[in-house]
Amino acid sequence: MRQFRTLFYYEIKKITQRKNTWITFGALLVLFFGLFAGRQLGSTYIDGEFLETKKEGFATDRENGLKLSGRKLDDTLFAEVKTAYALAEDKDIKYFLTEEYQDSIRPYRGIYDIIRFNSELSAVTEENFYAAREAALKESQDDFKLSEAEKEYWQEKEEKVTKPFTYQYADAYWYLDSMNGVYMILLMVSFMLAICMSNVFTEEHGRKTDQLILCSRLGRKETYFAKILAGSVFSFAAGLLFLVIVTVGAFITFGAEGFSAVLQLAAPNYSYPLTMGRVFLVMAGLLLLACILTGIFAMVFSEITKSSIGTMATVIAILFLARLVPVPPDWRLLQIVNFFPINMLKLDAGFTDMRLVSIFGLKFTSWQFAPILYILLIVLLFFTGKKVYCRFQVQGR
Amino acid sequence: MELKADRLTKQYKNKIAVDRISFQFKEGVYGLLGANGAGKTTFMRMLCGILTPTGGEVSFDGIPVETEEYRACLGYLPQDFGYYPNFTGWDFLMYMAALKGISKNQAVRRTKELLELVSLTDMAKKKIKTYSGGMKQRLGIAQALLNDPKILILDEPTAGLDPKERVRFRNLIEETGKDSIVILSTHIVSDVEHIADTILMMKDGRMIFQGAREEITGDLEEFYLEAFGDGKD
Repeated sequence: MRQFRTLFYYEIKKITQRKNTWITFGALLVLFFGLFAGRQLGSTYIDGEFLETKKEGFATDRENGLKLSGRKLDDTLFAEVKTAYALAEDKDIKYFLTEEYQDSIRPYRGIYDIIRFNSELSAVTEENFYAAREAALKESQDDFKLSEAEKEYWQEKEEKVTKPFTYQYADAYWYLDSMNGVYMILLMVSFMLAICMSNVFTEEHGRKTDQLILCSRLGRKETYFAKILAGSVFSFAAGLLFLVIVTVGAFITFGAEGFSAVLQLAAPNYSYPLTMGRVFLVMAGLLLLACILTGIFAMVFSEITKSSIGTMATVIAILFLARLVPVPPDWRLLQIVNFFPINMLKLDAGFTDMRLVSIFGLKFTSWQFAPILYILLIVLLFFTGKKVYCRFQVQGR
Repeated sequence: MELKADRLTKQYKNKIAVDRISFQFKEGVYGLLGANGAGKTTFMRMLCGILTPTGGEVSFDGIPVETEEYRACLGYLPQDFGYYPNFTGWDFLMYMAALKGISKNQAVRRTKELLELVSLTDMAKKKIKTYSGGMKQRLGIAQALLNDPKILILDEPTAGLDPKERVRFRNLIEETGKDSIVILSTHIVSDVEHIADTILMMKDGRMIFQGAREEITGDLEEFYLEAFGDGKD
């Protein structure tokens, strides 16, 4: 396309030269580095008494976790955990400071967290652990009012999940797949994009440069493409940059082990045979797509409303409403609420929603359908925005 | 070369801003005079294709106003000229050149020429927010000339220019008008007195006078005041 590279370059330049871009970008950098530093610095105290530095704590947990990696979650391991935790019975909080706790109980903390998701430690056996999980799965399917076909689908997937589960130390992926990881990046970058992208078009109206652009030879279609592409690249790059920062931070803190740990260690009541690492990759892909979608939404919505403040408020309102509005799981129509990126990137919400989407006989899980939906929305917004932009009339003033 | 406005009308709810104006512009300089609110800017915006008329058509040698081909022939300086404060003068012209579809090599050459022409070469690498009002206006004039336009539309172009700059500007427009259509709107009569070949006067959305400068005997200012009855504004 003629002069497209130059137009694109100047659109990027306009975005990066804005003060609000640097302020929000700086604020986010400070926030993410602050969170990282907060994890690394400082110490843990039990009842006012020093236990260890946080850094030492992560190292100890990692060492303990790696020793147990590869063990099956079976009767042998459960018996070990029960024996260890029996030592802590009737002990006060200062017991955490003792060598006995640190050497005998602490190593099993990760396993203990998995057990108590569906079972009582004192009564847990291999049989009732997996039976309790199966019952929880069934209850969850009933809550969602799954159809017979959906239940069959999940049964097929469940059969592919190897049991007993194999424990693997995967704290970095637990962190990244949790609300502190990819979810937090999306939340923060969405705020940033609401501020930075809502000016891409409205700036031209505010500065009255729109009349120069629109009467120029390439001021319509080509300029629209350049603006949308620049905004999308910026949105993608912002998401990617913070993803890298948070991921590297998590690997420094927890170590990078655990890519192949089964998802069921973190989300026991989900039947898809996924690993924690794959979940992270899917979430990272969804995050980047969601960033582009949010960026394009902010650009197009601001062009429709001609209001950057209104657009910022709308993006932020959508983020909060999608998170805060309670949606009964059996309201099938409101399944769509779980497709909002802010819900989709939450492991215990949209990502593990068991209701399937069927298109032309093909069945998609929520995280399989989300990227298709986001791409469709991006295309729809793109053409809506093009229509509005190209039809703009310079009047009044 | 003919720019044709055919029964051009723009109507807002209860107001007709431009009322069935028909005119054929040939090469030369056209001075469009009228008080504030006469409809000059609306008329010019329709000629630029950035405001769709309620009725009527605009075309240049048969090319409709809404086409890219038409816009390729157009240079426009709006009354309220907008710019990017953090861009340098050089960047701004290079960006405008890209918008006009001018290749990079040609854009560099043309930008240099025009910065020289409007005496902004020394300021080329400075941010526009540091420019004076007159400098910004000259930059606006430069951007309008980037593509050697066949149709040059200038809305109140002399606003902010000092007397010396006005003289330079008039000479520039006179030169451009030899092989282009230049339409210059103003409510300052002296701006068009010496350079316009044709005088057009608008009042309440209508063209109340159109004629060659020579047809107006005597002082143009007096003629203008007479035509508008109770003065300019």
